[in-house]
This record gives sequence, structure tokens and C-alpha cells, in this order.
Amino acid sequence: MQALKPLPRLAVAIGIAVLAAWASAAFAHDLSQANKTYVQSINGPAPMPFFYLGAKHMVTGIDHLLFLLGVIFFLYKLRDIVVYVSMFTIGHSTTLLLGVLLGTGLNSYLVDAIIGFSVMYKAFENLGGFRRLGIAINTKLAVLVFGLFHGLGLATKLQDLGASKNGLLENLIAFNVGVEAGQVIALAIVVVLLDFWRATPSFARGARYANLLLLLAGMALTAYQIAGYAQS
Amino acid sequence: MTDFAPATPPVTLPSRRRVIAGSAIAAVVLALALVFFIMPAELGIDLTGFGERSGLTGLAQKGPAANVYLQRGLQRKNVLFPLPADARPDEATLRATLAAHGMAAPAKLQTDHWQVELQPYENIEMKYLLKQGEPMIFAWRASAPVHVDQHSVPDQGGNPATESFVITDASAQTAVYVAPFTGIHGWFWQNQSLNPVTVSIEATGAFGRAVIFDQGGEHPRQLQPR
Repeated sequence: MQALKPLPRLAVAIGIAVLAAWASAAFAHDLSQANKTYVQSINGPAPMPFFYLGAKHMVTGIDHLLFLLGVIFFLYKLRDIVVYVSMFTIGHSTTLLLGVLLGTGLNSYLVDAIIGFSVMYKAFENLGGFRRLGIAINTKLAVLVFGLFHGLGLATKLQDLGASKNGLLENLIAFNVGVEAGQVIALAIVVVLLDFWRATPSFARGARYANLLLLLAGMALTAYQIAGYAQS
Repeated sequence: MTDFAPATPPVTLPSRRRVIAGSAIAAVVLALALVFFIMPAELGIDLTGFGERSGLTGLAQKGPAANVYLQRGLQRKNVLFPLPADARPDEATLRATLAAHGMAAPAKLQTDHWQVELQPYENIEMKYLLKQGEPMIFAWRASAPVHVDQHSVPDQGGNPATESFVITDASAQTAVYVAPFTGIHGWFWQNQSLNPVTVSIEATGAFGRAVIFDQGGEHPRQLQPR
């Protein structure tokens, strides 16, 4: 890495951001057509398929993962990780459950654009952007609020499946539990990898660039969703 | 650059023993997830039978096979006869279509028309009561494409014995339908857009009654002859 000059470094950053956006295009809509017909044929409680879909959406949902990575990037104590991730969980579970039960239909592009923005926000905060601007932010509250938007995104995805009203509550709860299971799996992997990096001196130097990459990925996600909204 | 100095407490690399133990736990979790969840749900490979019992293998199915109701309905012959969109859903067209397939319509037929506005993401079902072998002709239109599932529920067997004949996104359908069994026969429509959509239907057939399923449950519906 030492040899990389600023320009190639930027090229690498853009490349990764583009890759992230491509992955999100492939994965963020993974709950659409293939599983749709099957889910619509489910009439009654079917906890395992919904649990699986919730977990799969979380593990393959690059937007949720990038936000979580940003949230825990500078968290060293397990207690802090649990507190922040709990705020995120409270946020997204609230809007997931309420959104589906009340049948709130929001445009999925707009919700996903806000989720992309949440990644930008977190990266900007990690870069010390708000401190430099002299803005004090309650970071726990921010994670809770963005969690609410992530939950709206989940609710929109689940409603797009057109699941039957019969057994909806059980299936919704199973989906939510699946989301949390997927989150624990993803977090376990991310924390282990992050801790390996943190143990090397390159972390102090690379943290800044990692968050710049995160910011770029957030921008790519947001731009991708806004472009989708403009076309729809 | 200087104010970018978040507290970075020293982190030590885990011991060899912790790495081995952690990797072993991760490998076991991965193996369990693969065998019990990922292989049944993604590939349909069900080593333990858990995938079949929990319904996970259903996620691995693609296309019409993914829907057991559609699979059953598509095996039926002489049930659905699609017509051009401009065909009139009247008695003459019904009798002519049936005659062309060597069938006859009962002497007494009813006409009906109905219209509903679906709010964003709202869905509704409307079905006619037909006995086995009784025909109808119908034409429905929507002001924008809607998700539709044309299906029938037999009196004998109820919901689990449902058969679907068409599941698609469409804004119109015109066809003659001959009931394969005694029960209720009709459509599930879902608005999948953010704008209200109007669905209207005209039908002629041997039905005597109609029924609606909406968020409030099941309601009988008075026929409205044309």
C-alpha cells in the first residue's frame, strides 16, 4: 500500500465503490422474483422460510452491512458494540413490524437512498467531519434514527413479496428474528476481521482511508437508488 | 489531518489457541447453516429432511414449480380458454367459445359488472360461485398493471386444495372459464404501485352469487346485471 500514489488510490477507491454498488444491485433486491411466487403460495404461518429470508437479506444486504461496519469501526469494548447494535436493532425492528402491520407503502428507492445516506453519515462521522464542523451529534440517537429507516427498507422488501395476511404476524416476527440472526453472523465476521486489522500498526494509518471508502460506497448506493427513483 | 486521531487503544492479536478454537466454532456454525438452511433453501439439497418439514426447500424452487397451487391448476385441461382482449364478455361469445371446444352452456346465464379502486399496495379478491362444469366468460381491466392470481377454492378441501390458473402482473384478462370443481372461482388483485388503480370486470356466466375478500374479511356481493 505504501507505494500507492494519491491518484491510483482514488482509482482503487472508486473501483471498490462501484463494486459495492453493483453488489447492492444484485443483492438488495434478492427478495424479489425467485422467492416471490413461493412466498405468495404460503397461506398461514411458515416461520422457517421467513426466518431464512430475513437472515439472508441481512447477510447479503451490503447497505445494512456497510452501516454496521461504520457503526462499530471505532468501538473497542464489547459492551459498546452491544449498546450501539441494540439501538440499531430497536430502530429497525420498530419500523419493520409497524410498517408491515400498518401496510405502510413507501417507495423502496427512496428508502434505500436514505439507507445509503446513513452509510455516508456514519463514514463522515468516523472521519471526524462533524467535530471539525463543530457539530455535536448524539451518536447513539443517530444510530437509532437511521435504524428506523433501515427497518422501513426491510418492511418495504417484505411487503413487496406480497405475503398472505393469513399468519402474517408469525411470519413477520420470524422474518425479524431472522434479520437479527443474520446481523449477529455478519457482525461476528466483521468484528473478528476488524480486530485482526486493529492489532497491526496499519490500522492507525488506514482507518482514515477505510472510512473514505465507506463514504464513497455510501455515495454510490445513494446515487444508484436516486437514479432508480428517477427512472421509475 | 491532526484532529483525526480517535482513541485507538492497543489491540493484541489473539493467541494461537483462541484462533484455533474460534475457527473451529465458526466451521461448526457454517456446517450447520449449510446443511440445515442454505443447501435446502438455495439448492433444494435436503440431507436431514428438515428442509422439507420446515418449508425451506420451497425457496429453492423456481418458476411455476415454485407454486404448488399453480402447479396443480396448470395440469387441468379445458378449464381456461384465453380470448383476445377485445372479445365481448357476453352470452354469444361464451356459447361460441364453448361450442368450438365441444361444450355447451346452460340455458340460464347471469350478467354482472363490478369495479373497485385499490389504494397503493392494497389487494382484494372477488370470486363467483360456480358448480363443477359451469362456465363463465369474463373481461377485467386495470388502469395500471396489477399483480393477479386467478384461482379457485373447492368446497371440498378448502384453501389447501386451491388451484391457480394464472399468476402474473397484467392490466387485462379476457377468457372463458369452466369450473373444474364446485367452489368459488375468481381473482386476487394487488396494486403494487404508489398510485390508486381501478380494476373493473364484466362477466356472463352460470354463477348465482359472488363473494369478496378484503382486509375486513369475507363479504357476500350482490350481482349487478348489465
